[in-house]
Amino acid sequence: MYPDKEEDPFNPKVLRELCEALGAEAPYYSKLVDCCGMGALRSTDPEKSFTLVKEKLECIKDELDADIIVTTCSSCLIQLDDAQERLRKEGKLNFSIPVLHYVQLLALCMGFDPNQVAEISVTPRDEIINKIIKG
Amino acid sequence: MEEWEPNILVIACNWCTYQAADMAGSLRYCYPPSVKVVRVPCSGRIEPEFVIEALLNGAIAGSKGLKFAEVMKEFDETVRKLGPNTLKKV
Repeated sequence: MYPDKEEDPFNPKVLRELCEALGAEAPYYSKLVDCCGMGALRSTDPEKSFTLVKEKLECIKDELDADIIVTTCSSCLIQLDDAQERLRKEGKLNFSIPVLHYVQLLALCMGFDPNQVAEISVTPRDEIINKIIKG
Repeated sequence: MEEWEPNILVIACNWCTYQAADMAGSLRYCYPPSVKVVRVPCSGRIEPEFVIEALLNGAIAGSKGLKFAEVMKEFDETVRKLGPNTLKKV
């Protein structure tokens, strides 16, 4: 009934392939399937939640030095974007990686107006959006 | 006719509830065999289709080891009182 293209959910490939289809590189990193810390944890134990997202972000920075983080989960999107800014304000994070939902990235690549499709974020995105628009 | 047995499906996040289920097993807490656990990388991984498919297959829909075992026992008892899911006949 449900055609699932993901052969192994613990080694997910579909999102990475979709990003590659847009011309990006989307390599594996060791905390790829780790929890972003959102879900119930963010509301019940924010400290633990921020520890999880910090570890994930640091892994993305250290192993890939990524230009952008892409997710298909709106909950992960809020966490990765918003918690990053909170951690920076608390002096616990000294870098910034813009976060986009895959649909936003796709819309930008299709030439839609960034103000209409990718305006709301906490972590700054202008730089990467301009880079994407310029091609 | 053989006696009806509830079919309880637990879709458990790898980082929370699945750890509890694993812990429940390690600590030898008993929970009913009617409970089947499916591990997912995140609760965000669950598509509505998963739940619908489970219900069509007759399933009835549920973090700490002991808590997991206790909740599952309670769930099993409640489900037994409710009886079989009628969607399965669709």
